[in-house]
Amino acid sequence: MERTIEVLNQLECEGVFRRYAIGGAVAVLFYAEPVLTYDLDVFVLLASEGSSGLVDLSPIYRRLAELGHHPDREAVIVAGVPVQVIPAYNALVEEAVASADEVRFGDAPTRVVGYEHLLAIMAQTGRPKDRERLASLLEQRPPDAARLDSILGRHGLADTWQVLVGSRDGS
Amino acid sequence: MGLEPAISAAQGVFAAKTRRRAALACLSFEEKVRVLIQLQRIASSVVAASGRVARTPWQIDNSENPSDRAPGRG
Repeated sequence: MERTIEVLNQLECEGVFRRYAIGGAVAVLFYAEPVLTYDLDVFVLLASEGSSGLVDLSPIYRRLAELGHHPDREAVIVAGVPVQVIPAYNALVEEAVASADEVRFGDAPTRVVGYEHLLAIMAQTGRPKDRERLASLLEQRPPDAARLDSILGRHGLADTWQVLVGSRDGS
Repeated sequence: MGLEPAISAAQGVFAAKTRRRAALACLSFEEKVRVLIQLQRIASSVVAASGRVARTPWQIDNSENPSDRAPGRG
């Protein structure tokens, strides 16, 4: 995966996107026990919006293709790893990318969405697998309560969190 | 004989599972990815054996396998 990260770093360095951070199940893996996934979800802050105001990922796909990495269904295979490039689609995800933790994978520097942001994104997304992962994460690692409360409050997720998690811990 | 021995044995198994999960959670990022690829290989072989189309495990160069590296790296 180090080579995959080096390619992502190269794209960011070239300005193909402004900033990226690893999210999804691989971010879960960073904080907890390994869980099965096949995709490396990468949240990106785009360099610019298209002239129509629509999100345009084609510069990313085009540059990846120039580097020899081609699409496979909804992902692009980058050095053997299916990468799903996901534009930061709301204020919470933008904030998660902007404040992501700097980490290393082998010799390659990279970023992983911070733990409390990851929890908040899962609560916001709210799919069954997000709820399942959320419960598993909370069993393994308590969040920084103040940081989590701040994020949930800023993004209007306090009630959602209470519904998802409050019943679980009896609060 | 009551169920107590079975309950006690099951509790031991569950406790061991919890310890195992905690140990896995403490692995390095690189080691977790290595475990993930093992999981992908197992899952893909099970799916293929059931006649369904299996997803391909990550095709990462062996030189990226942290276990192949000199101690102290990654």
